[in-house]
Amino acid sequence: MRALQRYRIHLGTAAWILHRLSGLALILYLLTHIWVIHHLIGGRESFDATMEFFNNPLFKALEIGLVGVILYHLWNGLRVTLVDVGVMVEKQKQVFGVAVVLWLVSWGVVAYAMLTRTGGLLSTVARIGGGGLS
Amino acid sequence: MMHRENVTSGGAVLWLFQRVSGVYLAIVLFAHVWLLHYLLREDLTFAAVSDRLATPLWKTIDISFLVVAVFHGLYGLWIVLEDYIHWGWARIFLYSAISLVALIALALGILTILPFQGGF
Repeated sequence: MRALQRYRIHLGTAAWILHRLSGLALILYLLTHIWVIHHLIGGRESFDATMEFFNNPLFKALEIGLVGVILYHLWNGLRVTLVDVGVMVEKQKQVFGVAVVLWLVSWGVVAYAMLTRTGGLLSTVARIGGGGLS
Repeated sequence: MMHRENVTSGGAVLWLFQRVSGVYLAIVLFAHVWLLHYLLREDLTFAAVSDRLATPLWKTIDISFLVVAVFHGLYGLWIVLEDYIHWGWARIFLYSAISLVALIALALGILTILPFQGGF
């Protein structure tokens, strides 16, 4: 039992540290995102030139990672909120398990869409590969 | 706790706001990502986003999204920093710096969204 308790504390602490780190990363992203999107003010040429900078496999892959960070923060944040308002506190461990599953499944679904859609990672890799061959 | 800080995290109302805004962001962010990375089956160009952004409904949604996200993010940053910064003057400096960044981000975002007409 003692080992199990220590494990639970470790898990909760790890979740808490990851929540803070993902939050810090998301603030940096949010501020950068506002800066990038503000190029809409400059009209079509300004915005399209800015977005073209990000239209390559590196940023498409980073974007999929970003979604993973967002979704971790989202599901763990909802879990923490449930604990805070006293819902299912006695089933905390199961709630944590459900949050992890929802995180990975939702990340998988969005990652699949971002990989396969037109303008997604795979078509961007193919476009660059095709450009190299021709 | 009272002995060491002049600027504090603001108590129960802000604590509740952080939870409520988190739930709101979860919903709007889901719609945002789904729309721009799934439903929109083309590159994210000016032409692809400008029709939507020019409508009053999307301006309202995006501005509420912006305001809530900036507040949630920078208030969260303040909560984290508060755990490590204990000196009064350093707290006041950081609080001011975070507030300034929040105001700049809000101003930049609102100036982008609110007057946007598209089509140029």
